[in-house]
Amino acid sequence: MLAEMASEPGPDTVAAAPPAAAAASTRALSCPACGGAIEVRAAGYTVTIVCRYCSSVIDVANPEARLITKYEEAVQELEIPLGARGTLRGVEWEVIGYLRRSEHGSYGWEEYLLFNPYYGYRWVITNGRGWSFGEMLTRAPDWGVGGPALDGQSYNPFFSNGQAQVDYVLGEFYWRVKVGEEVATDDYVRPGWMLSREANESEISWTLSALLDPAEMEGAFGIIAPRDAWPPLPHQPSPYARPLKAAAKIGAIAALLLIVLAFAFGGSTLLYDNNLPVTFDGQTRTQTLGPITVTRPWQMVAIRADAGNIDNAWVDLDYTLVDRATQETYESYGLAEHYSGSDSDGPWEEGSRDTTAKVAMVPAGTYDLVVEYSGNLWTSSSYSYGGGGYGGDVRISVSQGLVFPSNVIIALVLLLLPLLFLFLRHIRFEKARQGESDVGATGLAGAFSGSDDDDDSGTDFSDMFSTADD
Amino acid sequence: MERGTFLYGLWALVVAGMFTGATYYGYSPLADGGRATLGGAMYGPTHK
Repeated sequence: MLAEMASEPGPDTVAAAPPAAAAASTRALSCPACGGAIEVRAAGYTVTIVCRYCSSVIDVANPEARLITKYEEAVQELEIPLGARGTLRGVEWEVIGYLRRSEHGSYGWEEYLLFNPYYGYRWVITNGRGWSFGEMLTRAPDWGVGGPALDGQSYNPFFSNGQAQVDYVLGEFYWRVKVGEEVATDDYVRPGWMLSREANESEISWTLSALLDPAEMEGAFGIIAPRDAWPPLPHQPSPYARPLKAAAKIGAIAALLLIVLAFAFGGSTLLYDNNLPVTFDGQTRTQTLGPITVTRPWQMVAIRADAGNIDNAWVDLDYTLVDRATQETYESYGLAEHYSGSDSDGPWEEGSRDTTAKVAMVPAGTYDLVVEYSGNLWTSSSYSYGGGGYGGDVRISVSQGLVFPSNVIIALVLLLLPLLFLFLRHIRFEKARQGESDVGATGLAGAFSGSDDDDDSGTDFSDMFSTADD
Repeated sequence: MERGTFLYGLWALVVAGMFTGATYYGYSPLADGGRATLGGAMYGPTHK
């Protein structure tokens, strides 16, 4: 966006900002084409004005208000009528000019020139998906890493090497505007702000635009501005960024609390241990171990079986904790196994000789542990249920504890899921926002993008969370 | 505080509460065993 000044500074100089004097007055003219009465609202600053009745462009600087040119196109109905007044960011502005611009007929946008005799000129700009409030800068930004910087804020390149032309003009302006005039444009963004550079052969100008909340435009000019436009505007902040940061802090605190709790209550107390003699004959035997007394109101009871040095064999173990007082039973099972051998790839081994079964929600009481177990041999050619002899002892250890490690993992996953949802929505938003950029996706959106894809191509995790309203 | 942040804070409290409750009761949905349901093994007195 932006407009050249009527003055002609050197090509590397920043154009002087439009006047912001405190003394402007109105002036009445008659249109030399149609005779209609024209009010010049910013008399003394306005250079050209377009007749509201016949669309003729008139040179106000000429005392005789010479007719410059006349458009055949009828005056179109503007979204904000010229002469309308509205308060934006605490200042009352009057709409005095209208420009419709485009990139050689494509990607059109509209600019309304606002005027306040004490604050000078501003712009409200829209491409149909949102509104921005622009002010021409009186200084050039610094050049930071990869883009310009202004007041300590850096801006990222977004549109580059554009050519903006004026397609239509209405109202009054502080420079000699005409249809067809072109400037080279570059735009840089940061969340909520766009920094635009416009240059022609004689000058360079910079404009800083702030994204307006739809409620601001509605309050100022009664415009029902679009909400949740898709794809987002180049300088539209991700609505997920701030909640994501806040939620990440909360999630980190909660995760830390969980881990502290897990360590604080993660210990276990050995209640009982004994040996079971195992014979590898496939026969099921039953042994009752105990008594085992658990004292807390509720607890987890862990039953560990260590089968010593068994090899190419397994021991099936079925456990039943029986409450001596109530005969209520708590069941679990275990499998201690170990296999080894050698094949074309060399020696191998697998299985675990010790196994732990964790029984949940065991109330306080005195229990017997009934173990039904059988030992079995395995050969590379077939199972063998008999013929084996004594295979050594399986050591049974019973302990009580509180914390299941799986609970810690489940809790962390539950904490992480909303964060993951927000993160993927954020990435999706950023990919859509940067999809229109001339420099491609950067940052997280770039990291999660495939090669030269756009938001509609392919499948990625962020698309899993798209909604129809987007 | 934004509504989403508040809701997530509430969610974190619920998760922490569930974890604390599960710890108190020695419960886990992924436990290897628990109280036998109907039809489970029945034992008579297992002690003298």
